[in-house]
Amino acid sequence: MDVFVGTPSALGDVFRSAFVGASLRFIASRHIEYSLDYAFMDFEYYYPVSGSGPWIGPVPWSSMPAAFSGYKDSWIFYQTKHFLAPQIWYVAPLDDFGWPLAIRVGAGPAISFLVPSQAALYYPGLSDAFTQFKENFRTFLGLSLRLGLEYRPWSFARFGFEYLFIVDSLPEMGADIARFGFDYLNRSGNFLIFAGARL
Amino acid sequence: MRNRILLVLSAAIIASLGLSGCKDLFNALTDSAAPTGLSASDGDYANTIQVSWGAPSLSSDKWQGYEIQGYLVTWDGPTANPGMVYGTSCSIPIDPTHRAIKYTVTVETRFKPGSAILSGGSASDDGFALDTESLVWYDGGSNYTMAGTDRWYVTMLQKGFTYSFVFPSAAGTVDFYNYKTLDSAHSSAPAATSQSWTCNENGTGHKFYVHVTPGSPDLSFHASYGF
Repeated sequence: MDVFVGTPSALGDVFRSAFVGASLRFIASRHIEYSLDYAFMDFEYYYPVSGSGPWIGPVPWSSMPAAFSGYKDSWIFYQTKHFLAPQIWYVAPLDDFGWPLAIRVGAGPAISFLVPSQAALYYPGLSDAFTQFKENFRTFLGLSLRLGLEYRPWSFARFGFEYLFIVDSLPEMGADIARFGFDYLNRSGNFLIFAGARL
Repeated sequence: MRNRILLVLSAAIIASLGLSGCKDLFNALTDSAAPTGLSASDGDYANTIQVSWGAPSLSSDKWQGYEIQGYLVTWDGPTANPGMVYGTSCSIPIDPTHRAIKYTVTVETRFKPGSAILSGGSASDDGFALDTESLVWYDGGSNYTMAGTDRWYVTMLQKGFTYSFVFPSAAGTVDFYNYKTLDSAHSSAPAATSQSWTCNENGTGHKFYVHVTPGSPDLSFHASYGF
């Protein structure tokens, strides 16, 4: 079981702010692991222009009208965005070099989904705005590719960091790397730190 | 590894302790054989209060040789006590005139006749019955038709928004209560042909009961939101 915290890429719009998540891992062998990763991505907000509608959204809180600025903690018109990634991992332990380290490389589909707030049951205008947004929402983001380094001080714990890339396709990723070179890391990589315990 | 799992499980159990969990913890510390996790339903049913609980643990030396005969269920409501129950749940019928009133239900563990002690201790919880429907806030407002002298609704309110009710032909009242508690959030008095409340609290997870009482039966009202 890993718990992780990530920072969004500078230019990517998948994660708009720092995110937290958890990863349930199955260690199949010394080199192969499977995991199911979940991350909470974001809150996004809706608001009515007047008591007669229409409803605007989803928007980040920074784009809400000033009249509502004091109500962020109690705002009931929102949706939450979630990220799910089943992954397969190749782990290369560096024990042979005398270091308690391992390089890990993971890949798998990246899936996101939305959950509207319960207020949608009581405000049909909000429900309509959410439904309209969901029609164009991309549930399947593409591929999730991970590259990281983990530190294993004890057999039951590990810590580390990794880069998470969410890409539409491998050829597109290759083209971007060719175009941006090393800067691709900053443009598209989400940086994660993680801590894991083996149960 | 087993110790680690126990540590994680213990932390999860402590973190999930609510008020009734605290009572259970107290009972465990005092080695009581009172029912555990007693819960009386809070407005979940129109005509009943559902009561459920768990059997106490009799594993300590104090309760060696004791056997539970059943549970004695009493309440402070207007009808007879449910009496002895041999399972771990029961249903107390509530007639329409006694809805929206909190009652205290007490469940006592009873040991088999011949035991040195007959009572293993008791636990109590408040519960009430309520007949509700959803109050939905359409853009521009909408008309609701009442059937009967009053009606209870469940809704979500946004702090800072104003919620208005108009009774077209006779003055009425609108009272707001925190969901699942019946604690008053706002009362409208006296009766008037229009009532409004600018919500200034978060209720129970932003949910509220709204009790609408028109001036005369079988009237409609208009409900709208604004800010």
